[in-house]
Amino acid sequence: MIEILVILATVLISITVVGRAGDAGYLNGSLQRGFAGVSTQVVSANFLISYTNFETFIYACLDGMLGISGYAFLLSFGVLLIVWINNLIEYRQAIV
Amino acid sequence: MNSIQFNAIAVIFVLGFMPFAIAFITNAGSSSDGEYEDSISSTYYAQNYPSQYPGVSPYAGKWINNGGLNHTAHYLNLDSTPHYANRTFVENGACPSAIQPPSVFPKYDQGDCITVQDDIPSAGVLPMNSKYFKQTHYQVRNVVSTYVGSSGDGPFTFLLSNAYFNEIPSNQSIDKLKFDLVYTPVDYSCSSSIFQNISFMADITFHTPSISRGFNDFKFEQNTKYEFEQYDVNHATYNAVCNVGLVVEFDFQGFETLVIDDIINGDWSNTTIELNLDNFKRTDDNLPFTTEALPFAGINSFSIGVQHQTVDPVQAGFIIKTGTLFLAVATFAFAIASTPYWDPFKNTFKGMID
Repeated sequence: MIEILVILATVLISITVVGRAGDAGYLNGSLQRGFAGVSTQVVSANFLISYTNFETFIYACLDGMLGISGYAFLLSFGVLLIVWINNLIEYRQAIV
Repeated sequence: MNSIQFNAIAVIFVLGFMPFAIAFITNAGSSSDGEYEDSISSTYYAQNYPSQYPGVSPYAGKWINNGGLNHTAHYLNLDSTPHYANRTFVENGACPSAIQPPSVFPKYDQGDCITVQDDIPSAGVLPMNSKYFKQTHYQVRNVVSTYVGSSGDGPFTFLLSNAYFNEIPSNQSIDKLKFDLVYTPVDYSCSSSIFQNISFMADITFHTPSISRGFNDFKFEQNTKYEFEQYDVNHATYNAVCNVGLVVEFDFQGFETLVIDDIINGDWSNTTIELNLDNFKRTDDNLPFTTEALPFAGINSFSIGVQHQTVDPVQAGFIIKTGTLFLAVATFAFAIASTPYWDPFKNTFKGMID
């Protein structure tokens, strides 16, 4: 469950990175874009899961360990992901 | 500021700001002074032990799982009265007669099961206060002179009563809890090949009369050599000693400390701790874990020392919950700023960058 949230966030990041790089004239080939996208996603997901306590923190929020503050954070993080998904669909970039 | 720079902010927020903010919040709330205190008192702890476990008289400690059958068949062949051997297998807090058909363990006597441990302080044996705990095959000590069982790779599960935690202050919550599990009757040369590099997983569960709460999947990698200065009462000197031992240290996150404080509520006298060690592996050669020496595998007793570090739960709770609330507000603000309806970045950087 939490892994899905992390993967979703990192997929959005990789789409953003690859999309903006494409707009700037880089990564013109589909193979290049695919490689860059997958690499960015895998590296950033591994970073968040293995080298930070981001995943544990999300679990703690879900589990109620942090009380109402934890649920507020989850809500905000969910809103952030929804906004970015919408922006990527509508405007092809995360921040408009 | 162009769109690439805007989106770089998104990447920095998720991969930079958020992990660091979370690390800061959780660590700020759980910083203790770094000094370990004894959790066990130095004297016999003559209090009522927990009785919330059915069929168990008051006890200081208890085996829940002792690593599996572990060569029980070998002891059965040696013993003309096989009920001794039957008692060497503990699973889910019970001996085999409770979980196997009589044909498998025909002469089993549940009353002499290895599970329950008496309260016997092992004063001066380890650098901290400790208690003796029967090893996995303690009940066959009358049948065989040496331990022939293999260690097995787990699970080894101990239930430790309030006798192990009666020195933890009721107005503090634990930031770290450390268990020293050491087999002290035999000293080895510190360069002995009996010591192995191993890895294992550990879980810890806090039981109170009303609730149980576990924290799982702590990973440990260490050598089984336990080296310390032991006091020689005959010569009044300290001598370097190497025993087979493990140090299992639980360093809790700040929010885990708050949960522990919430469920125990300072009442350590009604708290038992279940310690589960499993998935033992050799790390040097990745060979299967078979005859490696573990402090709790054998026919004697080993020592358990428990120490803790505490934090003020009120202060920790304020820092962690307030910090999380700030992070929630910042994340929400960043979400709104990512929409076309509010552009704090453009307003802030207007004129500075194209």
